This record gives sequence, structure tokens and C-alpha cells, in this order.
Amino acid sequence: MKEIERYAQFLKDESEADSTELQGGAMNSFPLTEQVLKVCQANSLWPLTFGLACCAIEMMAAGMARIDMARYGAEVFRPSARQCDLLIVSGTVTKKMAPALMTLYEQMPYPKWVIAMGNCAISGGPFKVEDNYNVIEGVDRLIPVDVYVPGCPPRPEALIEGILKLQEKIAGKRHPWPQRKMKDAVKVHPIP
Amino acid sequence: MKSSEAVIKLNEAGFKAEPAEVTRVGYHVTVALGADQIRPFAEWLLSEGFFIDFLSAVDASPAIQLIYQFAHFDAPCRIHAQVSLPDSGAVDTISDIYQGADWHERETRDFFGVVFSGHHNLVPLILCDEDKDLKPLLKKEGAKKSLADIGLGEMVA
Repeated sequence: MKEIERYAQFLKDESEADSTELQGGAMNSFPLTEQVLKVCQANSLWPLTFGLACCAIEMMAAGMARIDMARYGAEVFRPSARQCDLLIVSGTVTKKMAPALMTLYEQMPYPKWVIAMGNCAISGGPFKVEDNYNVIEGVDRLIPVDVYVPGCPPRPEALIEGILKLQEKIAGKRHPWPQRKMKDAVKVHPIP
Repeated sequence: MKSSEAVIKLNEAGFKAEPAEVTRVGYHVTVALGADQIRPFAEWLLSEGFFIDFLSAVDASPAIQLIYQFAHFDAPCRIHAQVSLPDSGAVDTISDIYQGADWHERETRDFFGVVFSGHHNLVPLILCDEDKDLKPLLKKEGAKKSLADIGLGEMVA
């Protein structure tokens, strides 16, 4: 398949390119600057407005008032790939969609991360059968994936956990920014 | 048009129509068509005020069956027409009579490889470029069922 070859070429280009250049150049030679940059990146992940199937409904729910992933700095869904650093692959990737998905990923500037949301994006899910002719069995055949969020579809809380995991991967620890400590007297509203 | 009236009128117009058990199969009238009758049939339906619901195919033994369904706004009357695909693999298009059939004919070409002769734009629609001649919904030789087994047996013209 053309898209598989395109990904192989991408990986080859990546490994041949100078990796320090991709990760922010000379700024990274100062450990403290690097750490500050990473904390900033982890706390303002801007996902692409990009939904593929029913998982996208859960992704929308995660962005809305009831679940509100803005609490973790990841709510600014951008309609343009050049303003994004997080691609949430929320749904089934078909062969016909594959080139568009890869183009969107390539259009995002570095540094960038990918969450594969739901069983379809992870492995093809219910479409991984013998007679399947049109579904990509795992989006990691097309683009590199950082965090896998299983479920069919995953609940919004699971997506938020995936974003927390991604923050951990970027900054090196869970909750890189100090979380507000609630006093006992303050009533904490749990997600119903 | 009521379904009992439709059966009479269809037979008068020269089409082999029978009433069907709607609570079991979901349509009121079945019509067995020859491949050359498709266009006159569609023209007759249009003049009587029917609209097209869908058009698709079923891969069964001995031949692919093309399924056309039409319905009417005034009274519950759903017409199910069935055509055995001739050996040439081609039937006449009705997309110039019912524009709504355009999309469905292209889809049927993608999935079953049926050619609709006279269609103005029979290019691949749904499958990606490298799969445009894949015909994914054709059954393997051993998996094909006979028409009687899938409840379409009585309707071959």
C-alpha cells in the first residue's frame, strides 16, 4: 500500500535528519530552559479539530463543560494543522482517509504528539477480520503514536487520562505543573 | 396510490407484479423485471409519482440480483423490483430518469462491478484509487447462497 511506503520514507527521513535540530536547537543545551519548555508544552497541548468516528463524540464530550479537559490545559481545539501539537486519532482510519490523515500529521509543526483513541485507531478494532478490505489495522502503521487509549469508545475520562499520560511522557512526571491543593472545607465536585 | 391498485396497474402496464406480505418483508409489491424492462419501468413509476428509495445488488447463485425499491408519498406503497444481471454484466442506467439513482449506481459499480450503460459519470466513488476494481461485496464461490435460501427465489422473471 502506498501509505505504508510513505510512512517508511518518513521514518527514514527522520532518522537521517539531525535530531537536535528537531527538538528545539541550541535552547536545549540549557537543562533548566529545556525543563521549562517541556512543562509549558505539556500544559498547553493544542489538539487538532479532527474526528473520524464515534470516538470523536467522546472527544467532544471531553472538551465540553461537564468533563472539561481545559482543566489540564488541552482544550484549545484548532482547526488548522499548523497551530496544533496534538493529533487525537479518534476513530476508524479507512484506506481512503489514510493519505489525508498523513498529510495532516505532516502539516503539524514540531514538536508534535499523537494519541490513538479507541480500538479502531489502535488495531482496527471490530474491523480486524479476514474480510476487511478498507480499514487500516492500527494508525501506528501510518504515523508514530505516543499514547494508546483503549475502549470502544473510551469514556472522556479515559481520554483525559491519556492526555495526563502524554504530559508525563513530555515533562517526565505526572502533573508537571503544581496542582491546586483543595482544603477540606472546599467542596470538590466529582464528575457525575 | 394504494398497493392493491399498484399491483393491478403494474400488471396492466406489462410488468409482472405480485402483492407481498408487508409485515414480513417490509414492502407491499414485488416486481420481477427483465433486464430490458428497467427503463420503461422507471419511466412508468415516475409518471405515477413514485420516488426511488435505493438501488443495490445481492451476489447470489445463479446470478447477481439488482434490487430497486421505490415508494410513494400519498399512501403506503413500497415497490421492490428485482433484476437478474445478464451475462454481459451490464444493465441500462435509470440515472437520467431518477437523478437519485446516480449515486447508488456508482456505489453498485464500486461494490459489485455492475456496469450501468448510459450512465453519464460512472467513475469510482467510495473505494480508494488502488482498490477501484476490487468489487469487495462479491462473494467467494463457496460462500454464495441460492436465491431461494435468501428469500428472493420466487421473483426471477
